[in-house]
Amino acid sequence: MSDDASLLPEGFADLEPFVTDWAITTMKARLHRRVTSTARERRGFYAAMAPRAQAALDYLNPISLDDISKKPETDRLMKLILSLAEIALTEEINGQEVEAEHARSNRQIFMVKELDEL
Amino acid sequence: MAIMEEAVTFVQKENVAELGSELIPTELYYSQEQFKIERERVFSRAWLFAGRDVEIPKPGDFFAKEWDICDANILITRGKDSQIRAFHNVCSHRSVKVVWEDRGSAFGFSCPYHGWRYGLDGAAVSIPDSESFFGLDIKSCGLTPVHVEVWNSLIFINLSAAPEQTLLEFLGPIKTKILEHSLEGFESFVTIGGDVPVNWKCLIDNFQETYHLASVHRLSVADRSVGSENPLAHPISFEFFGLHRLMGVWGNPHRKPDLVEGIAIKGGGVISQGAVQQNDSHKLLRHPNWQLDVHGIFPTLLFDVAPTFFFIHEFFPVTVDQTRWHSTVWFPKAINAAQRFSQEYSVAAFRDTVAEDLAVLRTQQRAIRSGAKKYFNFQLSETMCRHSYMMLNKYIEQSPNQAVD
Repeated sequence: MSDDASLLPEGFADLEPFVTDWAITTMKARLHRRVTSTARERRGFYAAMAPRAQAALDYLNPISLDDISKKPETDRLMKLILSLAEIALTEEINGQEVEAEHARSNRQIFMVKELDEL
Repeated sequence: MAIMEEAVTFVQKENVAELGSELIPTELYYSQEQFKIERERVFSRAWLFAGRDVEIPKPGDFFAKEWDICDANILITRGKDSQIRAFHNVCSHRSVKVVWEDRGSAFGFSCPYHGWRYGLDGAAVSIPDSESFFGLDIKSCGLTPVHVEVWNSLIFINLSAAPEQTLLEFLGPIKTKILEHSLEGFESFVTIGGDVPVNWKCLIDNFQETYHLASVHRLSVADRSVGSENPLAHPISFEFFGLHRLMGVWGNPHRKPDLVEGIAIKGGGVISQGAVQQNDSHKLLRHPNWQLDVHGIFPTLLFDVAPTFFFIHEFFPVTVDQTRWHSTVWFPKAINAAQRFSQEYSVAAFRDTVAEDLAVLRTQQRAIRSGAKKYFNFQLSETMCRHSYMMLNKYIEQSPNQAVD
């Protein structure tokens, strides 16, 4: 049973320190966070979140997307994972130098229409 | 299955000999005269892709798009009768823009200037203080209609008063190729875009050749499309259908995804994963390591299809030196968290790839304008670019009632 003070579902307390910075609503805001974050912040978030991503999805998969968004704990966990989509690219694919270049170019790309938020 | 045992082959120079080897004059990419010809002889005549019918599923849904080259803002609506219609987004009173939102849902439209109201079918429904006009007939005050046709969920408009061909005639036999991929169920979409200081033809050419993949994307995603047996991303195939064209792109089957990328691939909405983990009948028909098909629909639509996704690039010439581009990725509606995550990852990865392209393209227009180089030289993997160039010339030169086929 989760107590009222938990930010995330039971079993994911280790990720709570990241909620404030990375549980972000909308694709646009997640991209903005990525391109304005420091390399250290990205590294820290990836190191904590990547090894837990599969477990988090396994936890959320049986719940409908509608219901995920209705409960604050599951909603936050989902948004953490969605932020990981951006940060996995900076850490796994780009590396620091390429990411700096991308951040410049990415600022010139607009989100004309986002995927529906949950 | 026999094809699986055949030696891996890529497209050869002999396959595209019919297109010749002409050098391409760079002047066409900055000449005001050429831009004017393109406006009059191409964008004012050809069928232009506008969107998909599933973007406006319900009566009252609408979107508006700007074709700057023709100074046209076009409003596309779905009426109460479910009919899709297109109009110039221009008030019949004093020609200001009626609808200012890019997309939405409405019972009708009201001009912000003097409050003239229009229905979804374009008819004028109310005019404030109409009795003070001099012999005004409200029946003749509707929005100006634009030719619109829908095929296979794809909406096209035509800005000419009387289109020379129907949409089906214009598309011709490439329709069969597009129909090999089912678009059914792809109803969730995301659009990214931007303004790029480069001629529209340079921008479209970037997205229809594989030659740049190994260098522009060398530090990021090149290994999805290059591998030891194909180090410079040679395409699998080219096919030409009148004005239109098709390229089969190879995927690297040896690529090992990283940790989070692997989780995203499992979610089933991932784009550009190379040929890994795909087991689709299309792939067997074309090549053991088929990754995706790039359909080039004249003049400015690129329609890219792979087994688990498709995306659409649209290019809108603004001036001879500037182009607005939109790329829309289409997914099935996510059914669970894993799929939604996978889609988020795909969009971000796609956007990153485009960011690398744009960084290079931003340098191009000024460099062309310098006049340092009189010609572009297209190689085998740039055959789609060559075909575009040839068809553009052909379409410009042909007389209005003579279709290119």
